[in-house]
Amino acid sequence: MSNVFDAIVVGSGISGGWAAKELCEKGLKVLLLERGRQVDHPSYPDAMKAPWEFPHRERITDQDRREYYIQSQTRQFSEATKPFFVKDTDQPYATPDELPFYWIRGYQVGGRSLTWGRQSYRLSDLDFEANLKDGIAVDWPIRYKDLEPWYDYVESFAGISGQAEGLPHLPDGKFLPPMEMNCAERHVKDAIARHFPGRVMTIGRVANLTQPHNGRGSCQYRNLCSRGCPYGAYFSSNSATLPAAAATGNLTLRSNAIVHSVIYDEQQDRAAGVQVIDAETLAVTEYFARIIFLNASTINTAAILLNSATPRFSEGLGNSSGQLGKNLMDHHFMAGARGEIPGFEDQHYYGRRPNGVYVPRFRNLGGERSDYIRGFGYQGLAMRSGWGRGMQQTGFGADFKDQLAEPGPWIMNFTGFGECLPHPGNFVNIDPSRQDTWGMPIIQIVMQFRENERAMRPDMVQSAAEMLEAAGAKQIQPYDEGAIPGLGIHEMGTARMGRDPKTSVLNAWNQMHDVPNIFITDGSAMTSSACQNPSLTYMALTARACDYAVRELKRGNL
Amino acid sequence: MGGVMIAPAVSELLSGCQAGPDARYTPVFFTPPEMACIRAAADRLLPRTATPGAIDAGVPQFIDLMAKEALSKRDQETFRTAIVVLEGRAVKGYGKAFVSCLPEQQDEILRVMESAAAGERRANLMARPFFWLFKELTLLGYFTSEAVATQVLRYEPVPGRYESCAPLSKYPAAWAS
Repeated sequence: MSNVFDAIVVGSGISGGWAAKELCEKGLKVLLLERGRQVDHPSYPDAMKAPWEFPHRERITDQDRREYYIQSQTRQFSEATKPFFVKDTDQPYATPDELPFYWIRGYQVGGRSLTWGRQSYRLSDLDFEANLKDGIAVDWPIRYKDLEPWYDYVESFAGISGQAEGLPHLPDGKFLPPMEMNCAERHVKDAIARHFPGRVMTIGRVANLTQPHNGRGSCQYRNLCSRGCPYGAYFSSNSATLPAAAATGNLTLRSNAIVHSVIYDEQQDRAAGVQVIDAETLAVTEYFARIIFLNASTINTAAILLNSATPRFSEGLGNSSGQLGKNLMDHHFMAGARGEIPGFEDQHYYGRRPNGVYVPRFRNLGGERSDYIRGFGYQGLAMRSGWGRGMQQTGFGADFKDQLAEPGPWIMNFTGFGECLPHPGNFVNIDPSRQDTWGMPIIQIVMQFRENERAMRPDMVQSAAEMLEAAGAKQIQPYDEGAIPGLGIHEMGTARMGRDPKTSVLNAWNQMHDVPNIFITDGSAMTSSACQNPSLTYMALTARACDYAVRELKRGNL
Repeated sequence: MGGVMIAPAVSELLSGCQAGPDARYTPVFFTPPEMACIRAAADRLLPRTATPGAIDAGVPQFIDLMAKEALSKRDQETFRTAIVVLEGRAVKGYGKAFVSCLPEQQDEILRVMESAAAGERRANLMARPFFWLFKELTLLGYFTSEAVATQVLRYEPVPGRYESCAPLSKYPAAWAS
């Protein structure tokens, strides 16, 4: 195999898959490097297992808690999804004792696109203009109109089901038919519309297919997405972008390939390629290409560049701004309210919908709060409670058993997802004095939620409780279960886009100011976090950057 | 709900196991006397009615496996200690081992344990007392068993569609997962 390609893409997750597809379809010979193992679509070993086929009924063991001491902190982690999470004992990183950061990782072909929550929302100019208006960090170098056609483009391929609402701050997309709300959710939606002008509850906009789409099957309503979907009914690299890339004949995929660093050619002032460590043999190989897309995920992308220092870039490749690795963000959540919705005891549903409802941001659309800036959206869900409610009940015996076999009360839950401001004191760096099994320096993460995030949380709780109250809910439980960074699994910001090379790492095309043939289109590029789930924006930024990169290549500029 | 509907399936399930499906089971965590105690207690939590009971659903074996592989050292200790307490109450109160007590006597002992656990949890939300751990494992093992998921609850591996609002009379059983 030749070691020379037109393009190298580092990482096969949600954005790397898109980069591989776009560049392959434009005729480039692409090497896609993935640090983890191969995962073959659609033969997911655990996808069709019944609960009783898992020895621990999907619960985790004491050994799991020790080996996956970080990954087991997320509710996505179970006996059934464990194969798609890293073993923490093999993949150490460092945090200050008093500032935990739960870094949730999936090192395999497809990355976390296999286990993502699939909620897909556009950003708007409310978000793209926010830093400029608030005087926070730096201005985004793009506006909604720059990204709008690319949102259209990626949605049309990925397949996003949703309901158009005509909201300027949460633009509608190219939607497949929406999933439906159940009886209790419709009731709550109506109550919100009656009592809270400006608040809207819509069905989740989700990357699950409600009809066959581009050769992939429609959702079977199993709600077991995170085990991998044999029907290809949700968007993942494995189900969608990687098959499209492979179909061109231009894709070379190497798994178990850990990118150690980017090779920089001082004379050409360009990246020449990457140095790769084989995860199994530790053999070192160099690959070369004309352009490089870094899609290793926010923290790893920054770490690779920090590990690629040169005499010219002594603080990390492309880091003349000093911003590389800084401004780490994640959404803060786990604050909201739940309650019982009475009046629908004779109603039920059929199927397990892998999606909830969404209440788009309604705060500070016109700057009305004095206690915090920006805002939050709610993800929510109503369902009839199951046998698990037995843990809240006193008693046991025959009657107890029989009543638990029947559908319980309708429970509606709203959880806020809040925006996190960029702050240079939230950062990642590398510690070359300590190395992992593969000789990579240990990554250190220093991150905390700060004043604005903390100030927002009481409102996330209160506003959820008052919506439930307006809907006539009983037993309303407001909650704030705490915010530990990382658990949102929306890391962003470590190589931000901006207008000025002195204060940002990337330009308006996700191109490094300092090294113009390197593009970064994973979460690192985000200049602010907004409060929407960000993956759809990574997809749109990636497709747009690929289009630009290939045009620049053809013009001879790279 | 549909006790009548599922009765034939249950009797079929039970017919081959008069001695109990776990009669020859060799525990992996508990001692045989501890296992007998756990088995008897699980049977009181979820007894056989028109639908299977905890023993029919293999719950005692499941608790044994979870005690060995899923419980922390501390929770394992909680279990072991609690069984000694439970046996102590049986001997003190009724002059015999827990397994030999009458069902009403067993229930009385378990109610005391339940009340103690509730008190502990009221004082400390993170507390993991015996009865709370035991009840959770019993419910989990029972409702995720093949017998209960398929005969008592509604288990549909591939629903294929979503009906958002349907009368309960059309789909009376709770969803298995």
